[in-house]
Amino acid sequence: MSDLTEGLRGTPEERGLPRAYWAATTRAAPSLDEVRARVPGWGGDLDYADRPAVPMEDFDPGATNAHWDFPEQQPEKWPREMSPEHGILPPVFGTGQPPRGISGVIRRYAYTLSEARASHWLLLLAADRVDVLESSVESALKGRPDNPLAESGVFAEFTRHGIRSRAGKNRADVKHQWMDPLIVAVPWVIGGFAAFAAGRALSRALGASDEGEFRRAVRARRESARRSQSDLDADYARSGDDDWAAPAY
Amino acid sequence: MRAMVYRGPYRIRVEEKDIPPIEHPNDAIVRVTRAAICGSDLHIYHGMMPDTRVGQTFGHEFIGVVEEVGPSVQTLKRGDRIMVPFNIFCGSCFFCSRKLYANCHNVNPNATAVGGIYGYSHTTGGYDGGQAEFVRVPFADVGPSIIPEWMDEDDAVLLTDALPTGYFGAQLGDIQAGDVVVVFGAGPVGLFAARSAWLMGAGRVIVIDHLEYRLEKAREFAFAETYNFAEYDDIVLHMKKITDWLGADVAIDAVGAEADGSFMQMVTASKLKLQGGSPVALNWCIDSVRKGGTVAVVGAYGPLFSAVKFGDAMNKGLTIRANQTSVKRHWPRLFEHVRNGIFKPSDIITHWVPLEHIAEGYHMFSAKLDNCIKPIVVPN
Repeated sequence: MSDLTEGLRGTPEERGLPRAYWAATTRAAPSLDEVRARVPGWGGDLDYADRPAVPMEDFDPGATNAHWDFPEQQPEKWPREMSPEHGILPPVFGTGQPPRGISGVIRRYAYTLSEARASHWLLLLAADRVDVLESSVESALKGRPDNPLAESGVFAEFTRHGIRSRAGKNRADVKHQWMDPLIVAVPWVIGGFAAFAAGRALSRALGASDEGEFRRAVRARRESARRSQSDLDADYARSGDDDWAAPAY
Repeated sequence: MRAMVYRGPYRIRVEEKDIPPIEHPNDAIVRVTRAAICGSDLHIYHGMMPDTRVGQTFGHEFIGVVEEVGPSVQTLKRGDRIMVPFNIFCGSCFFCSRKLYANCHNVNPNATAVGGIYGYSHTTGGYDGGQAEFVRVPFADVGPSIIPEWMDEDDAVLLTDALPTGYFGAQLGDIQAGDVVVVFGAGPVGLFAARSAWLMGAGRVIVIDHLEYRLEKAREFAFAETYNFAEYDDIVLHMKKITDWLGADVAIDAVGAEADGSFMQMVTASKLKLQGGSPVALNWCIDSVRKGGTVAVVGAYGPLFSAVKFGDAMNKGLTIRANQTSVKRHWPRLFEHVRNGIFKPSDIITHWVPLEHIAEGYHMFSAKLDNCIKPIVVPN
């Protein structure tokens, strides 16, 4: 008969039980002496006093070179779009790319909504896409059209070993990188379709009036011809002349 | 001046722009000598950050030479070689007085949930960035520091974001002697976080990524144990197996919004922009750290919602600590480490890209070509 207590003899460590299941005081890791010998600087910041961000909040208003209680206000060149969660316009801000066009209208509306609302961020993302289309048209009109290929930097595929960097590397990102060109191309395709559709609609609008005139003219000629034939038939009936009769076959 | 400008998702070009003017008495105008492309720049390059406007110049990691100063600037003068933290901060608000410089309330009208950042959409204040010949630097007396004579320019530019952010990530982890630390992401921030974890006494540092060349760098540069998640059916399960079925004590998310590893998360977040970010790395952090452990988040996410496994975080009693890095707070200690040779930040730089070729530089970095880890942009 086997000894049922055999597997319970010895400490959990001696029995090889994983540390998660008993009151282990240490982790299964190399000895700290071994680590210290292997890694330069090991433990240099073990003391919390040597960790600059500990504690995270450390009230010390004199720690910066700020020589003001509150900074001077930067001039506001246009009504600066601002989160409604701000009590005042912060004294300093970026001034690049003021809102403009349809994207600007969307952005200004988005900034009436708090940062807590998903709609705030989704509207801003939508405005970004509109901005891309607006800016592409504007840039083309200014004589510097976008060059999607050059701007995508895709030529690096040839100069920076695009195939060699991926082939046989078992990279997780290769599974979805094929989508990247689509993301670049789709707005252009949509824009192309939109331009084509707009052009066709315009052409139809212009063509419709021409076609109408043409049709009216044809209808008038046919009517005139029909009337002429009726008049001739009437004349024939009146005259009783058989010369107009259709030849017999 | 020549400057990189955003033209739409995945598209940038170099354009002629006006040299920025002084707009506030404490502004400086800086001639950029080095800028870096950050992994988080890729989020805006890919169109993930709301209110990224066409025409904006990106670049929040840069160094340069002071060209002009506003009338109230006291500490800098024309010709000074300076390094500029990626945070724009006033030094005097409620948050700055508590050394939360990354959370300054006086520099970003567009949002209260994030401070001011150079060249990182209008959601962070609408400032143009440093991937240009010149850049406006607000609060010149507060943010920048003069580059020490002994410091290399390539080291200096990495001290404006990547190194402090990795170092801060390790601090957020509240690492104790002997802790098992897992870092998700072997990009620049992940490499620095892994290296920093040892300084704080980690007993074991594990780095997870899917790019073998970056994992090799993690082994060399950060002395880390590495695993390629693409080789495992379930990396979380593997983490449990190799940590005595406990999980790590500390997990650091050094990936952020475009984490790979879940096709659906990646597509819905990065491609379709229906989430603020793909939280794959964050979810793996939550699931692979032990109960009662700490998750540190320094990977950048957008402001929109993300599908985070918060139930697991709650049920495991986790501490989740996160923030943008208040860079300047870390400089004194990091300067010591760099000077003493503990860190050689520029060891992770793989490419120097002329400004005129920046579109190719972005594509290379985004598509992870040519073993790219950290590209530096050289304006002139």
